[in-house]
Amino acid sequence: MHEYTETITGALLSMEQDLKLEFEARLTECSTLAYRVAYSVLRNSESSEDVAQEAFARAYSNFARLRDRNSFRAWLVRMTWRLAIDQLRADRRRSAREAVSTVTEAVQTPAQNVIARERATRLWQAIDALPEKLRIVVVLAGIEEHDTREVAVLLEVPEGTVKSRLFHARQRLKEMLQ
Amino acid sequence: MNPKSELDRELEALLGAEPSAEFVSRVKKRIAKTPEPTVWNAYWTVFAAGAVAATIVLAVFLAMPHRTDLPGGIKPLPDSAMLSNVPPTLAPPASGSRNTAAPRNPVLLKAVKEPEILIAPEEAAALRRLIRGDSSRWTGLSNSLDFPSAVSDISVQPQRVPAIAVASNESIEPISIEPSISVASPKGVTQ
Repeated sequence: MHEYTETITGALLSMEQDLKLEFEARLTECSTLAYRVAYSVLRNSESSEDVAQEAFARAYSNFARLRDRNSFRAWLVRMTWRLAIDQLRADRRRSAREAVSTVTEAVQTPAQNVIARERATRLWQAIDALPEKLRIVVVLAGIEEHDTREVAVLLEVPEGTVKSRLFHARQRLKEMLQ
Repeated sequence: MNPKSELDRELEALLGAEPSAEFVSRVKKRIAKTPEPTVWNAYWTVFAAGAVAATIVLAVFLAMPHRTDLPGGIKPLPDSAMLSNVPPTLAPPASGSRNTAAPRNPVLLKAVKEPEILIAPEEAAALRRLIRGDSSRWTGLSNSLDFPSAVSDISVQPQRVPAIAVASNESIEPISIEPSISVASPKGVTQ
């Protein structure tokens, strides 16, 4: 009986160790994705890192309960998105947002820098004006060049729905940017 | 220049922000502080949830009143309807004074606490009088069934039957019944 108990305990401890290693691998794989999802909402480096970190901590606490490990990315993306939205609502009054983006980093002259900065600001405003369902599709399609099938998997909605939402979102963005 | 592809490129550039180099190490430090995702916890959580659900189901089942189904349209009388005419000696103590006074007659009290029976209030009152032996408004059967003494006391007197007077001048005419339709056939006449 004692040997049997030891065997079970050893097996469970081994499973826990495997679980931890697996989570660390997922963390390395998905850290940028979680950060970008948070950044698309908050547009602040520090806040985005904090939110992504919180999402990983929650994911780690509940990782053993996740039955389908293949859906980890989708799970993490939705959790990060919700946390970022909550954070944004809490910091609504905070006006100082970072407007720096990679677009501006590629620009060289000051005049072009200003134009690109303005363009980026207008694009962010247009994205912010989108309904949430359209916004998350645009953001996920823009992050890491996800195609519609991947976005559908992340959001757990049909691919046709993603295509339709992406089409409408682009139409609205173009209208607002003109 | 295709505006759509330009928009896509702009979006990708806009959303292509990179976390700081220390981000992953910070997350690792953070999750090192959080409790480990033990398999024990997961199994125990499922087991505890199942046990709680089973307990709730059992409690609900035991708490349900086990009543026999009544035919449609018949509603059981409330307890107060049965006990409204019960004299104070038979009525159980009120709930508020349950512990203040001991029941006077445990046997009668137990009889009152029997399961509900549909019975008319008049019948209930009659039964209670019968149980109390209230002979003032109740005819005891034992007196009527005491045949030897009862029969000996009875004396039968012959009585004369009055003659029936029939008027002689009244006559009853005979009644004639005739067939309404008669059908002739080779076998005979049928009516």
